[in-house]
Amino acid sequence: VGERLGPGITVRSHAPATAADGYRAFIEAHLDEAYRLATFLLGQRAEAEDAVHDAAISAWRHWTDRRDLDRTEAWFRRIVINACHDRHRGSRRIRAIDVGLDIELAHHPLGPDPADAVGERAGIVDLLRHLSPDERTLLTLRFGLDLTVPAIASVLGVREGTVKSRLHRTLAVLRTKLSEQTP
Amino acid sequence: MTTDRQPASDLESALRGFYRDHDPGPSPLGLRRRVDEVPSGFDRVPPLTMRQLMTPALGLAAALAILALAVGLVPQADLAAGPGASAAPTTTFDPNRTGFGLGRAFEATSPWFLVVVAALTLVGLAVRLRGRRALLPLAGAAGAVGYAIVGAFAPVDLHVTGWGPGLNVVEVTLPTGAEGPLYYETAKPGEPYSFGILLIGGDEQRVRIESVVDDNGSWYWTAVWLDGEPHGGMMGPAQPFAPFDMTPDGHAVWLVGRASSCALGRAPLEGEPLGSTWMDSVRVNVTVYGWPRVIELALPRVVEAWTDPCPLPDSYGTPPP
Repeated sequence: VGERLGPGITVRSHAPATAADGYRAFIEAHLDEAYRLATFLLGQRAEAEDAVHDAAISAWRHWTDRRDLDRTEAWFRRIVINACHDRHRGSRRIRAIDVGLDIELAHHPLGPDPADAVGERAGIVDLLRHLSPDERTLLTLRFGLDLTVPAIASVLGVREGTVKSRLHRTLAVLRTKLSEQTP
Repeated sequence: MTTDRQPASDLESALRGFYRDHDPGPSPLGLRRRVDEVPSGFDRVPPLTMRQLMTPALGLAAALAILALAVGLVPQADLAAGPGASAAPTTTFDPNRTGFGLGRAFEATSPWFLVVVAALTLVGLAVRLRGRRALLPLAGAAGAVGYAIVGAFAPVDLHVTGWGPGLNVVEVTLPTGAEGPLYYETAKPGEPYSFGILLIGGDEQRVRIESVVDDNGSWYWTAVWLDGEPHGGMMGPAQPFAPFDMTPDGHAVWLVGRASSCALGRAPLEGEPLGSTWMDSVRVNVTVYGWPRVIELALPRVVEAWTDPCPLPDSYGTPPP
């Protein structure tokens, strides 16, 4: 018997576990992912750190209010996303990905044809800037965090079919835009 | 949760590669320290901020505005019903009983003000809510505005389809081709008279007759009575007016007034040089789905002939010509 906080994280009830113990164990296991998610969404490491910190505070304040303990992971991801959106609305400084983009692409080109890979990804960067926050969130969860469709649905609080259709639509838009960019 | 990979398209592979390229790596030590301090550094119950207070404040304001809108419409109906509103049982018609069935003309400014306040606060509340929750206040705002528009502007199906002279009123036989009908009120000064009208309404609208507007002008009403026949007949006044919902059967009401101090007290003779005043319409306070409105109904002309010159000032405020 215990509180399950995610894969491999269970605070046993026979131990004198406090809410703070459970919270710390959970955060310890999920902080890196939260930081990745926030960085992907906000594009700036400093902003991402602040957003994750905000999310951690919010999660602590509502730690005992969780209704479904098995969905704590999804619950916390949602808090991180909301914190990022709040920062986005507050600062209006969101960029899709601009963390050393040019330098990283120049130094770490991937793929059999480095020039093509760089060009395509640079095109993606440009396109991601024009997506809505919700669309960027969807792509980040799917391709950045590599979450399954059910996991994304749990995070966003929508049905799996909705996630699939939104993904399909967003990817179609990206493909169209990419083809328009290709001479 | 890293399963369900399907044959990825080039674009999906590119996206994965893109995110992989820009993975920020482990969370920085500074962030870890800050997060470690959260349980000891922050209260479980956060202090309320203005931003957090705005949502419940807007919700409360919207609820109060809607409540005020609902409550605000009731007193108008009660006011119009008058002291005779509760006197439902049939009683003997007494033309000297006064004060029931009349009311000031309804005004719709206050309800509109409340609707606008409610709609604005609901929209403000919707802006502050996320996702589908925002639809609820938006639906409320749309409902409030829609209700007001329908109540205030929908054509009202209410007509006078019949009438009849009562106490001290006689019908005039007009020559062929003359526009009529025409009635003379023959009450002596200060005496009562009555005139019945049959109201017909549709059954698709909820129209409630709340009162007759007491215009208190040259034509002076003292009371309104309901007919004793409940299914649209005109048997005579039988009970003091009380607000009622229109039905397709119709309802007869009896307007009771008092002759002015200049009244001739009889039908004038042909060619007799007299003054006169007349009534050819009556205004009625109604509510359409609860929304207050004033409807003017056309009537046959009812004339009160005056002695000329009038020996006394008109006791109802209008001096004779």
